Amino acid sequence: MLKSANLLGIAGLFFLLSLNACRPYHVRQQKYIQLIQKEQFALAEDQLESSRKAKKKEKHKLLYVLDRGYAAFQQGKWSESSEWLMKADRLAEDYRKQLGYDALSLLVNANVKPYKAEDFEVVMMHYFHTIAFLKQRNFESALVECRRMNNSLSDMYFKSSSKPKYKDDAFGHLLMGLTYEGSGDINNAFIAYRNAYEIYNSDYASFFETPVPNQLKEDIIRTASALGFRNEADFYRKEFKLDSAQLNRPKPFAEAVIFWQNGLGPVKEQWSIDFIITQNAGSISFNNAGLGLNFVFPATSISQQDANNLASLQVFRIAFPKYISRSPIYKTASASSNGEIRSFQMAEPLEQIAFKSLSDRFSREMGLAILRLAIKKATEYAIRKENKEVGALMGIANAITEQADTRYWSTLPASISYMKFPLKEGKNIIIMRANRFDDQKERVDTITIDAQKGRTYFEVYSTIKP
Amino acid sequence: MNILRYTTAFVLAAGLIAGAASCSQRTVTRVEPNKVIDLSGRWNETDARLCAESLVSQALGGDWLGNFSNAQKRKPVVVVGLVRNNSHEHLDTEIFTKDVEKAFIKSTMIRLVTAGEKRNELRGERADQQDFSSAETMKKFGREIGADFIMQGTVKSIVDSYGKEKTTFWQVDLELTNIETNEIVWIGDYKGKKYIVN
Repeated sequence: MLKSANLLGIAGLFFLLSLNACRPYHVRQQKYIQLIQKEQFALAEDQLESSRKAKKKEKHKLLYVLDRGYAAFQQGKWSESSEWLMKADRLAEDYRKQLGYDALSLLVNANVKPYKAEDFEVVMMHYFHTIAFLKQRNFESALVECRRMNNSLSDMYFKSSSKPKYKDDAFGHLLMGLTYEGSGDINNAFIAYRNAYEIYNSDYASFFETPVPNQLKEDIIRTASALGFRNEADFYRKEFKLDSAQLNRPKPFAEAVIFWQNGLGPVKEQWSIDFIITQNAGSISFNNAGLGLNFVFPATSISQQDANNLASLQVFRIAFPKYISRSPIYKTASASSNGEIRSFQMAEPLEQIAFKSLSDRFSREMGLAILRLAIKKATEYAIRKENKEVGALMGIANAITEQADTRYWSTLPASISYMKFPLKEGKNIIIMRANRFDDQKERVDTITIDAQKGRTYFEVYSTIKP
Repeated sequence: MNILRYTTAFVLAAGLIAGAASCSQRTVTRVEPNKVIDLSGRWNETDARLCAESLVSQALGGDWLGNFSNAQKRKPVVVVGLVRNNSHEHLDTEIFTKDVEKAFIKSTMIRLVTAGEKRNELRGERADQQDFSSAETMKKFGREIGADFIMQGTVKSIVDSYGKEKTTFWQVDLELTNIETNEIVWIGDYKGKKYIVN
């Protein structure tokens, strides 16, 4: 006959497993992701629509509405996309720490909490939303979106410590500049361009090896001159050393701003790290010499008995998220029409930004993960000493629930590049060419724009499948 | 009995926390439309209502109304034009401009004419009548009442945040301009501020 303790142990095991029963969101949405990889956006949207469970789950809601916004966006359903992205924006804005979920995540894992978007995912949400409005020529709402992005960027900046990290987004400021300029607000465009330049010139150059786009340099000088800011225009002319042919290009009849969304960003997966535990006077340290990791906790952070229990474990394994590149197929792309050929310039290296974001918060998150597992392991050890069977059950439960939070916005591009392209009056057929890394046959697409005088048109060129 | 203590404590803790963290009963309570309820800190129907009330009282109490009526011996005709949203939130400015229009008509001191899309629709309908309506009921062209003033405005906002704290400041500016002379005869504003802790 089973003793009451054993029964409780089994109940505990089942309870923990029930909290952990659901597969991660992106695993459940594999079919959707596969359809996106084939650029079958309508089918991908149908797939999302049919996944009832994803719709209801509060903790995955943000990812679901972001996916809906993206799927509608890629089909050119701008208004629908905007509605979903608006919902996503509200969820991201209203996200706040809930003590209940935080405590539960310590006992189980971080997947039990509602998903909190990464900073760069918030920037991308505003990017898609701004473009959705620009495609509808709704500059007023696009500018509202730019202001919202600006607020998100300043939140991101102020919450960061003084350590060098991804704390501001150059592309966000660049997009604001392009939108302001498209709406005719040259003054705000200049300010946004200048802010973008400063970030490209510092963080983006050092962290991501992404240089300042030449188009941005040209736009800074041109908007400064148009505003009559002679000192600024002269300063940037000397700083950028652009050739006069580029600076004195005639004003086109109309202009297209084309964004190239290349490939898909990295996937977030789980990896396990082994730590050796040593108990010193007043502290417990977790060490992995191979990876050069050493985390020291004061022994007061847990009870003496738990500390002793932990120290006797000697080794333990921890699950942590990591990004793995989905190497894009295309290396470069260009646009040509009316005898003009222009190449795209890198504006947002999202893949590198994702890697950097995770490494920026590695220490903090690893500390939390160790604390989480320490509590579970100390309990397991104590039970194991009393009753091996129940302890073993607890060990199984702990092993199963030890999971990293690998949720992420799975359909973001690996990078976004951009260009400005001059348009002639009437119908413009722009030939888009994307060149592969493996030098196989290039991909050719077209964008058609019926241009009216003085207008700026915003276009998106997306390359995911071969 | 240590084992019992540990397992019980662990299971109970996880259970209680899971219960507290996950479900809560949804309740619906009917409230007065004027009751102030702030949930997210975003612009809401209370802001729109307070804004309309403030601007209506400023507009109807302004000197421009008496000055015009005394000089012209008739009621002024106003068209409500665009209120530009230069704020950081997607909001429908028509919610409060419609309240302003309603208050103008109720006051019986101001005459209102349509603007924008609605005016185009009316003109389309009038054009259709020339082809499809009987001669007795067909409405004539060139009989629209020309407005004396146009009301235009902007919504602006400033957001300041640090950590979990945030303030949002709103300013709605409305102005009345004499269409013939470009003279601005009245400016009113509504200011609102919210302090949000997340």
